[in-house]
Amino acid sequence: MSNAEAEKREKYALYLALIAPVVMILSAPAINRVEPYVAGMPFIFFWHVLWLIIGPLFLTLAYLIRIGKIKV
Amino acid sequence: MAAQGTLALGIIFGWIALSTVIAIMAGILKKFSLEEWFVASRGLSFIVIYFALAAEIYSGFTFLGLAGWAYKFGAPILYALAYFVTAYSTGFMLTPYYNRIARKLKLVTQPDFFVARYESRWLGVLVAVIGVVFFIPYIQLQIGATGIIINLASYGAIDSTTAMIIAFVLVAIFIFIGGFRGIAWTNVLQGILMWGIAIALLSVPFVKFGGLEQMFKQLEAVSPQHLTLPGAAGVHGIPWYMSTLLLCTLGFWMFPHLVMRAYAAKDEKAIMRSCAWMSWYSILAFPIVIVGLCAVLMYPELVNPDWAVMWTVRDMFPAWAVGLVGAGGAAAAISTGAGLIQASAGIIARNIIQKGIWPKASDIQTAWIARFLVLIVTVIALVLQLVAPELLVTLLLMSYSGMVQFFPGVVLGLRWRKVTKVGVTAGLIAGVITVILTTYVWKNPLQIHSGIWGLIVNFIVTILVSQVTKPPSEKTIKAFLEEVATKP
Repeated sequence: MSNAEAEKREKYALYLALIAPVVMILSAPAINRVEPYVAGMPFIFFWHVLWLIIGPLFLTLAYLIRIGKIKV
Repeated sequence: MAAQGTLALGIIFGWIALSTVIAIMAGILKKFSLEEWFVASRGLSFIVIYFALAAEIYSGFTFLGLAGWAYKFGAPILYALAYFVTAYSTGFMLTPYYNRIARKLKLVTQPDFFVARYESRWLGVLVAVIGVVFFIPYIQLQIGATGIIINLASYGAIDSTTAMIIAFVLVAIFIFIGGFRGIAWTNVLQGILMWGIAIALLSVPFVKFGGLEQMFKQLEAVSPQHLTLPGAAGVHGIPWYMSTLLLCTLGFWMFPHLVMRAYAAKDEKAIMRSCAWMSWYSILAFPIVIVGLCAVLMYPELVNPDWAVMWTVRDMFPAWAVGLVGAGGAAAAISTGAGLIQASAGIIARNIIQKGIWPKASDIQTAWIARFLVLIVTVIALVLQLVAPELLVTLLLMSYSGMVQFFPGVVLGLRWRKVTKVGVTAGLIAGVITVILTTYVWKNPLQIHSGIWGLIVNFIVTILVSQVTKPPSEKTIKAFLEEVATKP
């Protein structure tokens, strides 16, 4: 594998890994609300549960890209 | 009640005894050495390192404290669910470098990184002292949690002091023998138990209230403040949430014991994979938060909010299940406590003794010193918990903020050629002083967490002082910065 390709993989992995922290920190003012209820939960609770699933998904993708299992 | 208590206790202590035996076996089978005891000879495979990290990260606090916070404050506890996701992103980025550099330069503790990067064993001593001082309250917290869990699970048959002493004497023995490998294997056991408990706890709102929505609607009627920031106490607003989440995201992988776990992985792929997979583990914190909220409706008058989980479980499940939950909770507290004790003892032996006051100590002597320090650290933490618990609560307030002050030294050390020993030392000291001031004198100005204030001052001082002082040798800079460069 060439160095340029490795660098590209590392870059994409980094971007994917950064999504969860950036979105979760910056979105706080917007998601601090009770309505609407989603899946039986006030919105702020639903939002956090949602990210407990999306966050790991992005990170798993980042890992697979970084080790070359998924080609970029 | 007595019979129920005995059954639950039998399960808890049976579990602890089984863990101890497994840990001792794991340790005895390997030849004792510095690298083995500190970082399991850098040989842990993905699956072991995964369970080990999970069990150390999900502690007695996860078990009691999350529900306790949810009970007391409501929605602000969501910051913890958030950082259980975001902290693994940071881990994913940092730990491969930790692992790569530690392997190349034979590092075994976190202060070793500073010693090697800044060519200064005294900076290593400073980092070690700060790390250990802020660690002691965490050890004490785990001991206290174990006491509460065993006391409640035994339906009061064993008082919490006796429980704490028995549990931590066993812990000290198994770390003494097994070192880090022993801890890793007991954690595999705990991880399995935790999943079962989380699933069981998820049933609470359905059984008691007929569903999640019904529970939240009732809570909205009783205490609407519990459902949004700034929460029931009114002090955890949006600036607090954002700064605390940022702090936890950056600071998580500055914890000395977690850094040592990154060293113990057999390669960087194993540790990255653990971070990616560990983030999936975080979903199990959600049922615990929900139980805390249910408890607001079920037991409005709890004396200690940390009792919420155990009260609910005692109410709803048979005695054997109380025993299993108690075992899971005690195991969570004990495994984290064990990891913290092992890391503190290791850091004192390696960085304060071998690289500080007694440079002639050989590696094997250092490893033996670390072993005996395990016993001493355990006794000190136990005695402090029994005699002066308030003192430690005061320290705990600033522990996280204090630990995060290692961040500039680590990240600039990986990325910036011009950073110097004097710069990092000055920044670290300025950061810790700022944390003390913003914790006790001006409490969290603008609702922004004291650790973030410390970090801002720390970065400014580190960068400014580095401009006018001499960087380490070209060889060291190359070793660290080239390790960061991508390799195919």
